[in-house]
Formats: sequence, structure tokens, C-alpha cells
Amino acid sequence: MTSYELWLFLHISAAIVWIGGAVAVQVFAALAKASGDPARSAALGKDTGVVARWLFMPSSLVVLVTGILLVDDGNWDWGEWFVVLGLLGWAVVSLTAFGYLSRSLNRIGMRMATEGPSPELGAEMNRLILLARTLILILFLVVFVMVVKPGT
Amino acid sequence: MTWYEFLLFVHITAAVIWLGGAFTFQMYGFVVRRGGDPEEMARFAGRAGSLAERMFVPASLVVILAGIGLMIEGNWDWGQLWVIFALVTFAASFLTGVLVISPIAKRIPVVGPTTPAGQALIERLFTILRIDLCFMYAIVFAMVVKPTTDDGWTIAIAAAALVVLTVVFLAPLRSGSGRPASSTATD
Repeated sequence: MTSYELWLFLHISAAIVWIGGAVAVQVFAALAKASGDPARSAALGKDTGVVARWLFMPSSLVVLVTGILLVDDGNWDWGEWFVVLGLLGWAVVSLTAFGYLSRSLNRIGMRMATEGPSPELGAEMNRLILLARTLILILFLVVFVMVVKPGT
Repeated sequence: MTWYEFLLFVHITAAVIWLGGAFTFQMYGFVVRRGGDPEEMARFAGRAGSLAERMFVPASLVVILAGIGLMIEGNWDWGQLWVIFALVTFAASFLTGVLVISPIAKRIPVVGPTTPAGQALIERLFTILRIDLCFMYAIVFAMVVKPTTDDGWTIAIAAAALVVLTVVFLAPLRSGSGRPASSTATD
């Protein structure tokens, strides 16, 4: 096994945890919403904050670090489109998800637990879920670019 | 974009949804279990069925179909070690799902998910899913590294890692400390 293969395995494994986990959170959210139980949505919002901090954030960092090692070890050009788009996609998603989304989800989960459900909180939760779905779409586009490597 | 690249994207995307979802399910389970509420744990375990039906089963089928497509389109040899390992492990996981996981999941509502027996079954269910997940990640490793019989050390280290993880995950059940979440929380 070469070091390139090791970085690639770690890169893909971390991407699996990050992106697949984000999709699973969407399914959890849909199930919680369908149950009609606001306590469940509140608990999910709070738990998602914990999972994002302890699982998604480290995974995204492993994706970035191993990605850089792959470019270096594989002698890829830093100006390749898939490298530029990958870094750009990572930056946009990570900053939005960890800088804003996870904190907001955690905050709304806490407010739902203490204040109870309200149309205002529900609307804000829906807006955050929509934002999360957009970020997931961007991540899958990055995966597509990584696999197809246009221009190479 | 070639057909091969398209199939590879579909294969990887489905694997991401399947394995990433299963991993996150375990992490949520850990967070919920730490909360020490057996009713919440029971509700959470009940979602395993919904997740499996809506997410894991369709994704795993796409993984296998796209994988077969990749084998044909890429003219890969079916007799290669990493292909055999992936197919055998996938089949074993499928059989585990049908013969072990599904019966346990069906017994939980019968005995009552919040009873000590139900909580013990939930604990066992999560343990089996955790070990199954390790083997799925071993498939990812085999797919990326594509080891041959010449890669003795790589295979030995990967196999040792799998054995160690399996023993570690089984230990609480074997020692009888895989107790219900309720008793764990009140100890």
C-alpha cells in the first residue's frame, strides 16, 4: 500500500462520514417532523449540534488535510479545476455549516425545549433545513468533480 | 464524462449515503444513550427500521448494481482478491441483516423496548450494526487499495484491525455489562 492510497482511503472515509452523516440528519429531521412531536424536533436540533461539533467538523478537517496530502503526494497541479473547486466547495460548506448552521440548530433546539414550539421557531427550523440541503447538494457536486476530474 | 466515471460517481454517492448514514446513526445512538432515557433510546432504535427501509436498503442496492456495472464497463477481473472480499462481505452483511438483525428488531416491540429485556436487545442490535459497519469500511479500504496476494502485510494489518474492533465491540455483551440504558444511567 502506498502513502497515496492511505491518504485516499482516509479522504474517502472522512467524506463518507461527513456527507453521508449530513444526509442521515436530513432523514432524521423528516422523521421527527412527520411524527408531529415538537419535543422530538427539539431533541434532534440539540443532538445535531453535538454530532456536528464532534463528528462532522473533525471529518471535514480530515477531508481537507488528506486532500492537500493527496494533491502533494500525487503531484497534482494546484491549478487543476477539480482541486480549485474542491477547496472552494469545502470552504463555503464548512464555514456556513460550522460557523452558522450547527450553532443555529443547537440554539433553536434549546429554545424549542424551553419555550415550546411556535410558528416562528418552526419557520426558522425549516429555513435551516433548506440551507443544510443546499450545502449537501454542494458537497455532492464536489464529489462529482472529484470523481470526473473535468479538464484532466 | 465516460460511462465508467458516471457509474463510479453513482457507486461512491450511494456508498456515502449508506455508510455515512450508518456511522452517524451509531453516533446519535451514543449521544441518546448518554442521555440515559430508555424511552428515548427505544424511540431512537425504532427509527432503525425506517432508516433501513428508506435509506440503507436502496443505497446498498445502488452500490452493488453500480459496482457490477463498473466491473463490466472497466473490464475488471472477477477473480481478484478485493472483488471477492467485497462480494463475500456484502453477502455476509446481507445475511446478517436478514437472519440476525431483522429478528432482533422484530422482538424488541414484542418484549417492550423500555423493559430490561428490550433494552438488552437494543444494545445487542447496536453492537451487531457496529461490527457490520467495520466490515463495510473494510470493503471501502479494499476498493481503494485493491490489495493482491502480494500485499501480505497490508492484508494482515487490515485483518488484525477488524478482529480487534470486533472483539472490542463484543466485549460489553460477553462480559454482561451491555446493560440497559436505564440501569447504566442510574448506576
